[in-house]
Amino acid sequence: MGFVRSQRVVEREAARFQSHVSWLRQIESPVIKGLSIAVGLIVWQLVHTHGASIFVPSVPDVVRALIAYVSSTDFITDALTFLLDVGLGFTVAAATGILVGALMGISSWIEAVLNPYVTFFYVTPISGIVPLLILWLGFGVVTHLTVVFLFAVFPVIVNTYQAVKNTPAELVMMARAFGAQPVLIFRQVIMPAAVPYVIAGLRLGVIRAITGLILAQLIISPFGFGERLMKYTARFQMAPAFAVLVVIMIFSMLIALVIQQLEQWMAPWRSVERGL
Amino acid sequence: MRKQRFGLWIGVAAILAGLIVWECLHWITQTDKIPSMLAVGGSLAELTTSGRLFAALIPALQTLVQGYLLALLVGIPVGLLAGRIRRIEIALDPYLNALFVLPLASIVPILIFWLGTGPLVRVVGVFLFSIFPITINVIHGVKDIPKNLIEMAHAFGASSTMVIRHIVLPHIVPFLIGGLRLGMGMAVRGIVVVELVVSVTGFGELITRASYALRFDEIIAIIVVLMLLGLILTVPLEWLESWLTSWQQGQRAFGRR
Repeated sequence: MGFVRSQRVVEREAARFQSHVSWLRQIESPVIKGLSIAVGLIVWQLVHTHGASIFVPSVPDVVRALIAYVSSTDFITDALTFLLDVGLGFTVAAATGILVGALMGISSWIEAVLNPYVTFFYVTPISGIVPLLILWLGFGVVTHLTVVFLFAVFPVIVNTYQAVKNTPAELVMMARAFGAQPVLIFRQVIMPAAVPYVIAGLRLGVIRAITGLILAQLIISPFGFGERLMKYTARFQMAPAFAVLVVIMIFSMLIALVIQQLEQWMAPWRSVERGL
Repeated sequence: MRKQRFGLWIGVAAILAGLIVWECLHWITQTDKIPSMLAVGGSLAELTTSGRLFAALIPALQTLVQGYLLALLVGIPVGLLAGRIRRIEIALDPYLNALFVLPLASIVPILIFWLGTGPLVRVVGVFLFSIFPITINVIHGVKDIPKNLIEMAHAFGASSTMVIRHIVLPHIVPFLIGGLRLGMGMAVRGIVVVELVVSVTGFGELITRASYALRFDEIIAIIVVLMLLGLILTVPLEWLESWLTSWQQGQRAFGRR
């Protein structure tokens, strides 16, 4: 009797401990993240107060500048420019990239012809071409959009191409064995298998698109966020410069999140191992 | 094997066709905007012999190597730690995420303000560009190690350092090489972006001068050098990676490689 009862007590305690642990585990990760960000901000603030006050703006100053910037009309035009340019350039890049990548994955001829070019532009820094684009296309919006497109298109092509090419052989063979026609195989087997990788490519592509646009706004013609960054750093106004940086970061984070949601929506059955 | 060679020949033919199309465009349009390959080669030779190319290239390469090595020196230990200890990984997560989503070009103006337009801004720029893929790949490599291998080693009395030396390090080699390759690609992008935004010294100055003078042939020659730099620095790492991970490439639906 005594043994059974003590056994029960142990079980109950174990269960309570378990739930305790799981509860701890749930809040552990946000708590650590919050602490880590707090430590970062405190260190930043200490660097500000101990000497480098011109170079490193204080955290409250940045927050104030951020509020001032976000509530100004400049912000609306900057944000619209940003969203329109990234949206337009990236949409065209995504459509082109998926089409070209899928063609390369299916046809060995297209693969052989395009592979050297795609590899070349995927590996080499696209930003190097920007000066030439300026001379060809001028300083206007067209050049900005072209830079966004070129930055974004190659990761999408490469990921789509690799995904289509690496469709598990068993799946395709089985579909063939059941008499599926090539079009059906492409639509029902290859496309679904490729979706997570294509979306990983899109995520990388959209980050590159944003990089391309900021670079364009910095070195082609001053516009939007890039113009503000240049202006503030030239005038040694670090707090507003960092406020702009924070805005850019939040925008890119949100856009990357949207793309990630796309995966949940299009391929809920699996999610590829991604970066953190 | 024959198929592979077939692809290679078509690739070579495609590149030649591209060059011929370019040359034809030059002859048809007869403008400097699309300079002839001969002119590009000429200004490349001129840039090399006058020493202007190397005056820009050698400092750029030096800072690239310094920034990249710094990224390895920081990224690999941090990745090892974060891969082994979950709490460190969680603590680093916001920073790594920020590094991934923030367009690094946007930091360059601030870096210039902090560090001037000398070599230091290039080293730090390259470091920031290349540290993310290196760290992430090492973390993934460490987390990919089968738990039971480590448990078994511990059961047989292996110390932590032995586990790291005999299990962790060999296991992460392919991931590490992948990180080295991606990191090198980012390092080259970083140096080019910094050079372009700085624009008063090094390659930036060369390009700015050439574009003010509307020397299309010279700009293209410089671009060719920059792109070849990217190719020369990353392709050997890619070969190394595919050689080290050849056992991972299983069956493929389309049977080609």
